[in-house]
Amino acid sequence: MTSTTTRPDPPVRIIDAGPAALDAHRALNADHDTGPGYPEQGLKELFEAQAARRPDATALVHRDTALTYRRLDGLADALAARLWAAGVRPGATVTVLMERSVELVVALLAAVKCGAAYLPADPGWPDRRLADLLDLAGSAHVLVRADAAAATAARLPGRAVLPVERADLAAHPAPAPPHRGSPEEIAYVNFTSGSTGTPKGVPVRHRGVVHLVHDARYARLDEDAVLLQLAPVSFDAATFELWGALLHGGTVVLYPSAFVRLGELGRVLERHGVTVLFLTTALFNTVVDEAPRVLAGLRTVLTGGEAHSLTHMAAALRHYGTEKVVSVYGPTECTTFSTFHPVRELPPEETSLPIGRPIQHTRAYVVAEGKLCAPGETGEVLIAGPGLSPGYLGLPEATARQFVEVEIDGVRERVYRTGDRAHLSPRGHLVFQGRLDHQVKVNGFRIELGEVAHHLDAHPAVRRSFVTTRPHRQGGQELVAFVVPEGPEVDARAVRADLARELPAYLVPSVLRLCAELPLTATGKVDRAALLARAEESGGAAAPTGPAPTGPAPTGPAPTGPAPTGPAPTGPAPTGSAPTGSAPTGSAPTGSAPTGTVRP
Amino acid sequence: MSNPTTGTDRPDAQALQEWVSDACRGLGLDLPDPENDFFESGGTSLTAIRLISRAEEVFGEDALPPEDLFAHSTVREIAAAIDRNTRS
Repeated sequence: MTSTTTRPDPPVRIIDAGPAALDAHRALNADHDTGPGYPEQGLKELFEAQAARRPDATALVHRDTALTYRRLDGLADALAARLWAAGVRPGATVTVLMERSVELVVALLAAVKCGAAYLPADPGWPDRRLADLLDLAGSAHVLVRADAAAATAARLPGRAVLPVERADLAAHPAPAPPHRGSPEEIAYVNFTSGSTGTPKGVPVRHRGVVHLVHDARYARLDEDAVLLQLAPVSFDAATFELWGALLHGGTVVLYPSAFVRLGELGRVLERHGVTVLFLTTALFNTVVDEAPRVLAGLRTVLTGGEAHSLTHMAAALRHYGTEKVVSVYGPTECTTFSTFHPVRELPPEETSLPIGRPIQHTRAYVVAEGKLCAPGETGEVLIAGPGLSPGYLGLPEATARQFVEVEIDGVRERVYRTGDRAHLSPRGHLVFQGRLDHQVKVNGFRIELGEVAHHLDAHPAVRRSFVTTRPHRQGGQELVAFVVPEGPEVDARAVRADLARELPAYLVPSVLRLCAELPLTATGKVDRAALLARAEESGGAAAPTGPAPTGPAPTGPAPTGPAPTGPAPTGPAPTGSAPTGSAPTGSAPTGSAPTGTVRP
Repeated sequence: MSNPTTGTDRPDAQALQEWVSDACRGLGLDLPDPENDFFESGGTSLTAIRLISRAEEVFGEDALPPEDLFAHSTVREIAAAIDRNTRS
């Protein structure tokens, strides 16, 4: 896992800045060093300190089961001892392949107690994809529920599959292994879509997690905090949900079902007195439309993943007032959240909701062509701070491209190039303006169109393909693929079904259409507009959409289980009006990225 | 949205199917025929959350469990699931 860290002596890029740009960025980042720092400790020590301080406080609730810190810590110790005995050592990666359960949380803690990283994976992922991800992460150990052990061993030959069952652990207590954690260690690995067809593994240090939840500005996180764990555990929002509670002596409540229902969501929030909830943009909009009272009792609702709809935000302000809703933004590479924006008003001159200002300990910059942007100038968002990943697993070139050393305003630091475009508003907020590349967000899942195209083009029946997004009738975006088949006998449904066997549900286009050729524009690019218009004309022909073949999948909001699980982060992406995944909401800025990806 | 449960009798199968078709139309989905499928007609898991929420508003808690909807998703099958789950 150390193979991907930054290269020695990376080149430093000096970012020039005019006075207006400097002033605006100093104001944007002014707060980052005013608060206290965060503890330079690992998750193990910080969690154990809470367990020692508040042993009888409720740490974890799942359905009718509540576990105190003492009990949860004891179960995690017992499992950690077994992992250690099975050969897990600091620096290893332990895959956790479970749906939401007490055992899931015990498993994550046990990995951390060994100094190992956890790789949260979804049992619903296709076998080959799962095996590939485990290979990329070098994970030899897989933790599963006892009833899934035999089937998992068959799915993943060559791995040590270890069953986890609470009663069994309780019956065999054991002290934790003799490991002392460090903020430098890798806490977990998430995967994001990769444009070359292979997902990118993003390791996150303990420091990233500690900084995310310590002195949080975007929500009150303390021993009275009760957080709902609703996101798929392989989605990085789960980092916030779990550790936001467990590092403060608060309570994490696991959503009881595989698929979210608004009635049940309301009952769970009320019954357990949940104080802070994260919802993907799409699910937030759904709640605001269908059952706004569900969120009435919360202190804070965090929402992000795609660009927000001003219509829904206006409705939310009416329902909840000005103190409850906070928009959050951040790539997985920077540990869940990088910026936040408390939604207090919707000024008439703003055509999209800002992504706001950096969270604690974090800096943000807008840079174009090597220069820091003044307010109103659009550039790429760079993020700096302790949330930054050390770099992609096994991808030194991608790491060197996205994680760079810069010198800005006389300060040298490492930044992550988000690929997101933004400008600073007159009010000093970052405002998202689209993507620089072909990355899109669909239902909160971050998708590289190139990854989908890569898998389509590898299909023997596919000669060429073009993958893009279009607005969905119910809001948000949907993934659409156009395929030039190798022959007349090719069946679009069959191609889509084959793709669904290789890719998680959220990467499978909801619409796949065959076409004789890909029309080109005058400049020789694939004519996306013509293809989409043609798709509209042909109505319901070709391969219609379907839900994920494996079940209730493709919403970010859906919880574990059959739900998909994209390691998608909370970055924005267009909703509604945007013509493609890579364009912004509202008025289209000039020079925005092309809108699809094609491989000859 | 009309409530086929008002009145003294249980809604019959056809009334329930009409409710499902109407509810889907309210979600932007065109499923005029009992054999039309929710997901093949453009329903997504987010639309499913909305449909389930609306079914619970009208017919009560657990009227349309997600597992039922994902397993059988024609208008006829959705109506039958609601009927089955609200039969006391």
